[in-house]
Amino acid sequence: MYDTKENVLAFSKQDAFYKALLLLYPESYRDHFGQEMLFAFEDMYQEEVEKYGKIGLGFWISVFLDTVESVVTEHMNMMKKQGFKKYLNINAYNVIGGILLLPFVLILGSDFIGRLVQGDFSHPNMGLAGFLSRSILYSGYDKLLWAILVFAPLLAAVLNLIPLASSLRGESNKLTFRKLLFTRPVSLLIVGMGLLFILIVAGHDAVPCFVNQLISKGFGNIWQTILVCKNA
Amino acid sequence: MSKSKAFSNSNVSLTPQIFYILLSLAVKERHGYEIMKQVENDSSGKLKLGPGTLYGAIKRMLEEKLIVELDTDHSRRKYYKLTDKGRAIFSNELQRYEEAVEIAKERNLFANPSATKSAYV
Repeated sequence: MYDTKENVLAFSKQDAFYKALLLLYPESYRDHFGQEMLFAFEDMYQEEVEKYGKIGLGFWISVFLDTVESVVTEHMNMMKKQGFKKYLNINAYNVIGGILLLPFVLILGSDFIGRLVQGDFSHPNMGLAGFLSRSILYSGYDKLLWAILVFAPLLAAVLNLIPLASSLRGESNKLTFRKLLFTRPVSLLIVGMGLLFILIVAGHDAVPCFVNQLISKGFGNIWQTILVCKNA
Repeated sequence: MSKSKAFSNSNVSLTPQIFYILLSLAVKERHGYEIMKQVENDSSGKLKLGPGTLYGAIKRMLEEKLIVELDTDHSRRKYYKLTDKGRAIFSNELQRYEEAVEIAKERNLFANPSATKSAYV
């Protein structure tokens, strides 16, 4: 069944896909069982092809559900065993960063939900972000408030680059993004969120416009979308 | 080993997955995919384990020392085998089922499940 070039190539693709799914498991679990799980997946795949002549959607759904269920279970078990703080490797930088970002999470999160419910991501004055921008415009302290709005997530992001940098140094450049994700997940999340919030605040309506254009027109005209939203 | 002692030695609750894995390993050692297929056969297709669920259960069973990994030179795959503890717990579980089946037969519950009420009077 797997003698033909097409079958070997197709099989390699599934292999690569399942290997990527295995990255979601805790590292120690993956080190112990990853190879065996891959063997079992290969056998399942082969059997499915031999039985039905092709791989159906049901196969991928069952693989996906099995992976999601076991990934969540294994991470929960790991968290129970190590304790929440140790599992997430939380430090003072994370706490300060979290406090700095909390207002943004609440404001922009509720704004996003508001836009999602309304189904309109382009409306400039909708939700709390709209309220916030109007308040800034009419407050007379617009530059100061705007500076604070940009400075807080920037500070959170910069502070959380410190533990990331120390992890990189400690591993003598061998640390990949994947490893960083597992060793400093909270720092990485705060840096990412900080940069996103800076983009949203600094970009005013460009980000909602971009999301709206992507939803309505897809990724086909991405450059046109960027041009349209650049001056939004 | 007495029944109660066997259970007190393990924190593993015998979920259907663990029960069927023990059942599949009771006859001979097997590797992961063989266990998956055997579990599916033994449960008449009612229980299908994916690699994630299977190895999650195997991990817990290894931690509880119900099974061990075998070192095999002839295969790249890992084979698993029941330990004495695993076999004792499995035997006790089977015995418990057997006793429950006997009671159910005595009370004629297989033919008439609604007889449950009157059987307890």
